[in-house]
Parts: sequence; C-alpha cells; structure tokens
Amino acid sequence: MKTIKQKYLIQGDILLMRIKSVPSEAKKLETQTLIMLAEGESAGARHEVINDQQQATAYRLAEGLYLDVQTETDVVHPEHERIALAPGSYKVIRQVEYTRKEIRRVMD
Amino acid sequence: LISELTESQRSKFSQYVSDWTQIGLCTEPLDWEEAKCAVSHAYKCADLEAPKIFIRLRSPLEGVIGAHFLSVGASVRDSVRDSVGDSVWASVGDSVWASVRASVGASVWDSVRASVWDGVRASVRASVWDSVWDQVNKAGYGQHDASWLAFCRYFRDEASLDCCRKLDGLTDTAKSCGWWWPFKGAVIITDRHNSVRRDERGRLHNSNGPSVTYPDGGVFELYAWHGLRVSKSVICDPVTIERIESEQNAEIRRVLVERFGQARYVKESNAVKVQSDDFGTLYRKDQAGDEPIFMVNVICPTTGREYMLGIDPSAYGGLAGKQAKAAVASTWRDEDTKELVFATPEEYCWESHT
Repeated sequence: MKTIKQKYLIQGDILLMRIKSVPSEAKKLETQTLIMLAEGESAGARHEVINDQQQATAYRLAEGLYLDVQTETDVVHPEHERIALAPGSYKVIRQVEYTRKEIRRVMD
Repeated sequence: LISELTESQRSKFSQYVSDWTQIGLCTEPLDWEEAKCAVSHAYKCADLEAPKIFIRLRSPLEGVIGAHFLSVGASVRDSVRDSVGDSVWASVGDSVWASVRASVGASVWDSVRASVWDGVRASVRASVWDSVWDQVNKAGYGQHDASWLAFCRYFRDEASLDCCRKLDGLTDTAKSCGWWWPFKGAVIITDRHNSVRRDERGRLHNSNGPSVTYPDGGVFELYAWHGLRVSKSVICDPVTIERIESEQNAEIRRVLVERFGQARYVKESNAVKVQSDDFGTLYRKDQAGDEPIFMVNVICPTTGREYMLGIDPSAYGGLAGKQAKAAVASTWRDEDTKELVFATPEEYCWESHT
C-alpha cells in the first residue's frame, strides 16, 4: 500500500480532489463506520472510506460530498486497489458522461 | 384586487400542487354517476339546462369522433346538433380568468401545468389532432384541466376570490372524468387514462410500451421517449444499425441510438477512430443533420475493464475532440461549478491512479 500526496486521487469512476478546506456552509453528515462515496449505485460501483475509528468526517453541500480526513485511512472498492487517504480536505468528484444538447422542439 | 399573499397562504402552494397533479394524472376508473353529476354541475354554473343524454366513450379519440358525429350526423342532428360548448367556456371562463390572472403570480398553476397540461394533455392532444378534426378545440379537458383549475381553486379557497366559484362545475369534471364534449341536451364524457408512465423529470416516457393508455382495448395509446412523442415502432420494434442509419429525423435517431446503446452503436457501426493513446481510443460517429457523437473507450488501469464514455468535443478548446487523453481528462468535471477538474489535459496522468 502506498500513500499518495498528489492533488488528485482516482479510483474507477470516482476522483478525490484535494482542497484547502471544506466549505463552511457544508452540512456535517452522520458518522458511519463506512462513508459511501457514490450512492445509489450497484454493488459493483461501491467506493467507501473506512471510518471505523472516526478517521474522517463527511459533509454535504448541494450535490457535493466533502471529506475531512483527520488520520490516514483508505478508500476501498471490491474491484479496485485501495487508495490511502492522507489527512486533509477533499471534494468527491464523479466521472460524468457528456450527452449531446437537447434538440427537442416543443410539442403541440 | 389581491396584490399580495400572506406567508400562511403561500405555505399552502405545495399541497395544491401535489393534490392537483394527482388529479391530473389520475388513472382510476371513472365513476359514471359522479361524472354525470360533475358535468351537469358545469352546465348549471354556465346557466344552462343539464343535458338529458349522457354518452360514455373510452378515450379522447373516441370522444372527438363521437363529437364530430353529434355535431354533423344526420340522425341525431335535430336534437343535439347545437353545440353549446362555446357558451359554456365563454360564460364560465373569461371573466374569472381575467381577474384571477391579474391577481398574483402563478406558482400553483405553473407547477401543475408543467406536469399535466404541458406533459400529458399536450401529448394526448397532439396525438388526437393527428387523427381528427377540429372537435379537439371544443372539448373540456376534464382531469387535464387540472393545471389552471388548481390555480383558481387556490384563490377560491385560500384568498376568498368568489368569482372562482363559477368554475366549481369544471372542477368537478377535473376530479371525475377525462375529456368531455358539451352539446345542447347531450354530452359526451370519456374515461380517464388508465396508465400514465413518466420519467424522473415528469416527462412522458416508457422504454418498452405505451406511456399513456385508455380503457379502450389498446386503440388509442401514446408512445413517448423522455417527453418526445414517437410512433409505436420507435419504442417497440427491434433496433438495428440499418434502422438507425436510415432514420431521417434527428430526434428519432437519437431515441433509436439510446435504445440500441450509444457505446454499442459507436463500436458496431464503423465509427471513425480519431486517435488512440495510452489513455484510450477516441471515436467520432457523424450524424446527418445532428451533432456528431464523440466517445472515448477508456481502459481502467486498476481493473483493466473497458468502458465507453460520451465526451464533449469542445472541451480544452476542442482538443477533447482530437485526442484521447484530453477526451478522458474532460470526463472529470466539478458538478457544482461545471468546471473541468484538470485545467489542462497534461495535469491528467496515470500517477494519479493507484
């Protein structure tokens, strides 16, 4: 296992971006032993942060999910290598697929 | 004239929106006695004598055909030919409408309108319109009038705007039947739809069958793809590359591509391989009369799994449409700011993966 200190960490379709700090308006989420980074996905796309010893705190602001990592922990996924998360603040970014602009005309 | 609503009056908006959207999209079987009473009430509100003959038909399509024969057909001509529809709408609608519209903004109306009037009624109307004559304009839309009636009902009950009481009869029809056609002495009342399927944005949508059906044994059905009304074959027939490529209408072609699977389409239809590098392979598929489709085939460095992603070719000053690396980098965008995560494609590199 290696610790990475770059600005971006990618695991499959999830990217963790280092940020200076979690926005102050973000709402703290309830503490869980596993923090799910991508909700509503099938089991195969489960990215989770290990939080059994409260290594991290999750926040939400609008659609955005943020993490404050206090002590080093891991992001795990059944099919991907684990990523070590160094202490610091992160924003969770999901990979997006572009869809062409709508060309629909108004009906009727 | 009402010029302002109190906080407590405003707080009721959401209840009206939800109640009336439900009325507009209701798929319950029609209660015939209740529907007859509702229509009679609407006549009464217009100072007209209640109809003596009630004709029940099963869909708006049957309704317009029935209305056409009632208005021109020889056999019943003498007793029922005089359509009093115009006078119903004129005496019920105009004065009330004007005063209510003038009063305040239309939050209630707009919300219900979006889902019922623009969503369902407009599609049903366009579909019937394809088939028949001008009787469409003479119909009362029953439950599909929910949008503007919700608005008036709100002012009637929450702001004591008494002129709205003239619409009580129409409100009853919204709650009890589908489209209906008033004539002097006779009325045609049609059933509600018995199924309405919509997508998460409330647009008519069903990927494997009709979006709207009526209890008429499948005669009048609407097919739609995320709000776009299409023919039955577009939804139900198997899709092939040949079928997609021969489609002239760009909107329909997009539906077919979505049904076929955009990734599979690009892979199987001889798309142009634009560029290939360590990050993936970029493809372009030209579409007559439409934007080309750009997709990048990405290989996940940790699982080795390949997947195709649609990309925006204009990202990085157009580089994403030319280079696989830039295309892959462009799939990372901050959903809040809509900005690219990587300021330049060079910032995106394998070392950021584990």
